[in-house]
Amino acid sequence: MLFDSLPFVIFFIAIFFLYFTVPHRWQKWLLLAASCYFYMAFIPQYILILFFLITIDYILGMNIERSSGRVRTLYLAVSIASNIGILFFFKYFNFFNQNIADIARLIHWNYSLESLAIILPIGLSFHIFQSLAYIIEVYKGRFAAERNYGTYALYVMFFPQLVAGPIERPSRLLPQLRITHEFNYDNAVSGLKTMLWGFFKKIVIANNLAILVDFVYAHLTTSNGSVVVLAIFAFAIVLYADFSGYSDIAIGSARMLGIELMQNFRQPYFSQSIAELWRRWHISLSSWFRDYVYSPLVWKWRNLGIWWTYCAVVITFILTGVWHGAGWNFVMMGLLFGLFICVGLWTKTFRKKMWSIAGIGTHNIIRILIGVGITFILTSFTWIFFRSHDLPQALLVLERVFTQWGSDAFSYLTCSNYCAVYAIGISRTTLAIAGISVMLLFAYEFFKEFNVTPPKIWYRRVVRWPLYYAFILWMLFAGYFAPMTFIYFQF
Amino acid sequence: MHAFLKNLLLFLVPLGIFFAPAFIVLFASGEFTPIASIGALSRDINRIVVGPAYSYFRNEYQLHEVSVRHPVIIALGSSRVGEFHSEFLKNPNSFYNASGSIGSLSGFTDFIKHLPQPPQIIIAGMDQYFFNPENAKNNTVKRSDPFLVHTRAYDPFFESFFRNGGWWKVYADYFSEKFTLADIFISSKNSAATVGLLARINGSGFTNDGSNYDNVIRYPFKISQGIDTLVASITDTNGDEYGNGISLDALAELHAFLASAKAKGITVIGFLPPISHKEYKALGQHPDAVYAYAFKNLAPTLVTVYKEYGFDFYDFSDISSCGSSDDEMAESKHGSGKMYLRLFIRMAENNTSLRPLVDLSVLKAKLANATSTYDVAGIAGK
Repeated sequence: MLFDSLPFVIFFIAIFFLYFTVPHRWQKWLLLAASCYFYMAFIPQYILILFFLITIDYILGMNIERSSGRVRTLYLAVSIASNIGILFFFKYFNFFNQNIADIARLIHWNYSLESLAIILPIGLSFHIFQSLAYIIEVYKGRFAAERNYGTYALYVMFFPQLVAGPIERPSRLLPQLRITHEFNYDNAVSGLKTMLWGFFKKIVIANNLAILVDFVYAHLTTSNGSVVVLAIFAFAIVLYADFSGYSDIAIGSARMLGIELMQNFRQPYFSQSIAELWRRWHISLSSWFRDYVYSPLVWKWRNLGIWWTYCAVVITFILTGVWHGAGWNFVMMGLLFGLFICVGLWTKTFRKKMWSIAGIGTHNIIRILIGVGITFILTSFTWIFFRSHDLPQALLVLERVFTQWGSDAFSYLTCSNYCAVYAIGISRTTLAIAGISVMLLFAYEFFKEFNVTPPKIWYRRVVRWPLYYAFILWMLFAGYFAPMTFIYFQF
Repeated sequence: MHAFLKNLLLFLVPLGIFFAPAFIVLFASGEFTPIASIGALSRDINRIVVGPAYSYFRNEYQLHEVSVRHPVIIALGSSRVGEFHSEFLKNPNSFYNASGSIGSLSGFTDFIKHLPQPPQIIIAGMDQYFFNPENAKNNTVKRSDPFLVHTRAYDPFFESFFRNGGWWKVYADYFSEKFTLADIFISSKNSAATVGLLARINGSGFTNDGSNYDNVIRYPFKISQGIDTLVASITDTNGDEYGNGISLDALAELHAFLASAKAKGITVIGFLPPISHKEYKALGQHPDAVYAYAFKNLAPTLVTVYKEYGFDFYDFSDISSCGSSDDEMAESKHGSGKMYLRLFIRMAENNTSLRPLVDLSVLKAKLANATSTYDVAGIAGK
């Protein structure tokens, strides 16, 4: 059941009204039943895996709380091993098996373990990380183990964020699930608006531009450099619109039910450095890695000098890359982000000095634009490793960037519409529609970034509603209503 | 909650008022009918005309029908094979016309690849533009399987109402007087059951056997276009250059199709579809003579390729070659049912696989008793 599908809209409307009409003590169970139904709409039997993990972590969480010393650590290890073991089996086994087979072939070793023909349970990486956050917090003594099985199950399975986050922390989500919720007008309206904005990002921007990206990646060998560069930047937009659109729908739908999920994106493409980008991009994941991988490593290596801090950064980002997928392209993506951040840290003083010599302050518009521009370009090029099926394809994309920049490099902008479609996969009209929508997106983000408050007149219904209508009609006019799954569903 | 519902309702009412008429018109005209239901209707009742205005699903639909019906013989190609009708055959149920499902040569291979049970004979329309080396559609490197969409659920409501903008186009068409509400709700200009707005308002579309249902008002055919427009039309270049010679990629793709068909035990009967005689002559005198050269050499080349696989090929570019004339053209690139009956008779007379499926004397009698320069009695609802 995709968020941008009619079945989800009907499902959510039904749950929303039921939620505020059933007796309060049933709210939690209704949400749990709805979450089970939502999850089972994908591959029903995989819910058994989810309940296996929920049960293990629920029991171990209480045991960790009750015990101390080595036993406590043993319970933690068992929980982590169960979670990571299942993640490894479904997500990484084939990757490791393939690499071992490749090495075996090189050294003429007879190795013939077959790859597993299994489908990755939807949202596995998300709910496993959410479970791990719970178990680690309990182990650290920062959070009391949950006594109610239903509440804990709902913490892992809460349907708005079940398949693609945001990856919540127990201290934030569990207390909200323990209490009952009264209907709140402001939450309902705000949630609805957030959902609508998410639908806009997904259906109008991501879906339209994804056709271009998919087309160019499918025809790399015959696409010229300008088209490949267009696809690279388009993918940066697609990825953001797709994933932040999903997050908005998740956050909005949860808010309508009275539950506040964490912000997952904060205008990431306004970042002036890669480090800043990762503080604004997929915040629930980056903060997870910061808290449970980076910080412990830095603490452990605190006396070993700055190079070990760089090591911690690189290791954290390689793991972040691998979290996204089992492939060397994801390793490379993580490595590149890690290296960019290290270079940024390493040259920070030098750059500061240079800006100071040039007499350009931190808030100078040129400095901001240069920072934002370079960060966006580096990020877009690093996403190549995200979008590519494997490392060779990513390298091919990079190679194609430098080819055929002749006089007809941008012919798709002037030749016939057929020719444009066969060059970039979409018509110029669709490209223009997507372009206008992207401008609308960034205009809105600009206002948010710089806290621009709307004029007083905006609060009048007679002004707001016609604009809402225009927005909805634009969505319907410009949207690409095709069954296209969210990119992060694969994780 | 009440305040929320009240405001939500208040907000949605104008949207509802705006969308409801478009929704009702499209719903009433059958635009939202699923492919499987259209297929079932076309197999169950006497006469149905399918003509959606805001969605195009001929790829998926024709493949679906051929897969379900298992016909012995199919016509396959662009809209220019649409005038072969089941009534041409002794057993009408043995034929299906999968016209409008092919946009480039690679489509032929893809189509038969997806069939669970291939037909015995394919009448394949080889549109001239398939072989234009400058036509982007013939870029076989960038080919994609148009029938892959068949594997996903086709949602006619989303396709016609949202994706193809039916929600606003229906207003544009109504206010430009392309239809009236009476056309939708009171009377249909068509005696047959209809699915889709076009079928409802002017009777155009395809019928039970997949062939064209010609109930459209036709205008007397005349050449009104300049020679360059004509060449662009024949080569389907839409303003791009036409190429010098015949596309080698296209020929390779044709070999792939014929080899694949032969391997599956299918007999392919190929033909170059007709253009008007006057235009054919004009094309031969094209000042650049570039594409005209390719045009003249296309038929002999294709005959040779088809012969390699033991298949027949017919050049109907010049309609005078089969006793037809411009009077039988519906427009410059589309012949009438009567003209296609002539082509079919020519094929049946020469092709040993096709001949046993046809009663030539009956067909010739039908041709002799044609009701007009376009129509033949007893064919496609006439």
